[in-house]
Amino acid sequence: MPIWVEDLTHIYLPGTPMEVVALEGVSLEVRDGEFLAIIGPTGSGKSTLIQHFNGLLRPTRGRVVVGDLDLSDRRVNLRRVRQQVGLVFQYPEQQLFEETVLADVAFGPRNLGYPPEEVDRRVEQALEMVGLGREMLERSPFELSGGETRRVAIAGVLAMGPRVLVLDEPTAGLDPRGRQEILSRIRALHADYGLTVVLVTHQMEDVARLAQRVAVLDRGRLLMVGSPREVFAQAEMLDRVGLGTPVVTRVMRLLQERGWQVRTDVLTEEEAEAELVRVFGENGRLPLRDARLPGGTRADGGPASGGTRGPGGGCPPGGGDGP
Amino acid sequence: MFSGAPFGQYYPGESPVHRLDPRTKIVVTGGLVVVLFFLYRWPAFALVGVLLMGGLLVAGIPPRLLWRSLRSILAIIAFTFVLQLFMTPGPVWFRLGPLTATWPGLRMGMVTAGRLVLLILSTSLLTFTTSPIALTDGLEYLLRPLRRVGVPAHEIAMMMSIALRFIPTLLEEAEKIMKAQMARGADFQSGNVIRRARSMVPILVPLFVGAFRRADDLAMAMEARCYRGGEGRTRLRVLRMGASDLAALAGSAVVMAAALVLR
Repeated sequence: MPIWVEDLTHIYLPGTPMEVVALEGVSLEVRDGEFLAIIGPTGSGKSTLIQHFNGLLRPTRGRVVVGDLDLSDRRVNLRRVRQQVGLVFQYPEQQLFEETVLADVAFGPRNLGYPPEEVDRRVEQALEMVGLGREMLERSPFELSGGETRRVAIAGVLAMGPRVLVLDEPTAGLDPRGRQEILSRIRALHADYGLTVVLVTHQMEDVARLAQRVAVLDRGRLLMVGSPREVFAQAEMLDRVGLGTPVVTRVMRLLQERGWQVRTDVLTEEEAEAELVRVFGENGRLPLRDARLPGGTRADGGPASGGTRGPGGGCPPGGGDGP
Repeated sequence: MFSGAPFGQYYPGESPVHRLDPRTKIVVTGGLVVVLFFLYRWPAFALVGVLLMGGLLVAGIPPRLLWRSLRSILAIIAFTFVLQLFMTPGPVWFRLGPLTATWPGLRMGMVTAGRLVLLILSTSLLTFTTSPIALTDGLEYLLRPLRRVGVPAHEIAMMMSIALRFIPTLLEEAEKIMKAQMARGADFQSGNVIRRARSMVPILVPLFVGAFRRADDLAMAMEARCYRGGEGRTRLRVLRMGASDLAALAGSAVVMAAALVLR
């Protein structure tokens, strides 16, 4: 289910001294079935934007169309929109309130008026989608681990059966394992269950790894939309707004600055590894094993095996000091 | 959603009223509130009214804000007026079904309405021109003599400051939780009273859980900075009474005395 945002402007508390323009003239399309990442520094309007996707906020100006429903039409049944577009807020575990996981995940489908058997079926399916088993059903959401409670909260949204899942920084405040679990679940929701996913995040690595398209927001304006490769090619722009690029992209850029002929459009560790093998490996001068060792580079930051090098000079360290 | 609520209605400014010592303003407001309940005649009301209007004018409070704080108790004023009008015995003014409105009732109704309006104006003048922090500072100082009889003045003031500080935070959090539950199809607007009360549970439980967690964190953070109550605690802002405070106290005392004479 696609979402169209047209020339969207949102102003908080208009006409008061506290007036804040949170979004200004944003036009964006969420394509059916895609994985879209929205990135931007704190206060850039990310959260305001996604709250328009399911009608929690109404545009001050502009239009939001979800599927065939124009949300500016006051007759639109917002509950139907909210069923189609599931929104997972930041720290969603803070909204849990029931005594058991079962009852909490069932809150959404019950609100939608499904019969009890259907509610149960949806709860079980939703828990399965986030990788939690039946044994969770009767436990209290307040006695689970951080990653587990968050998955329960995400299940609470999935149980409504949305076609689009919007997540606002779903990994914030989790330990590395919790983060990985959530991310691999989100990836599966997109790949295996065919959900359209919109991910708001500060983690450029996650964007590089997961997203098909990226939208960059800064101070309420849409700076650019494109594939991760296109967006991360604009390293200067991203640095200027305070977002930066994935670590591996930065490493490649630094290598290039020092005269190594490496590609700088790598996004993931796997791509970086392949590129490093290509550049260093084929020469046999610098086995990758050594390149990874701390101290593999000199204190002055030059390449480990030194030698002559210059801009454009055929990258590998120069002649004389070979094996 | 909650942004229009009349909480923390401090209206920042640099007027002479703003600059008065909070203790002066608390004492004058307290005095006025007591005096108001003795007033019965028009000239007395007018006198106090003029004093308050003067204060509000000097403080530069926009009439719009004033109207907003009055509007919130309009229903109460109307209710007490009607109650007085029909419940006071005396010569009949008119009849409405089984109810009789009386002339003394009309008078009593207007007196009560006048007292309530002036009450709101005087407390508004205090809260518009005094920041919550200054207010609790002043209150702590004024409560200090009561420590002898076991009133924990510092603790009360600290509790008040903390409560005031966290009202906006809690409102923000309530709004966030409400939106999250609406995203899960919750509906807070339709249904009868019981249904609506029940629909508050998904908001209140997370709100309380969050409030308790925050209280724990706050206590820890205070202890980490060696907070140990009011014993030996010095202040960043030391309250000082100035000439303008004495003038304001004397002036209001004269007006209040005059109002009591005219009552």
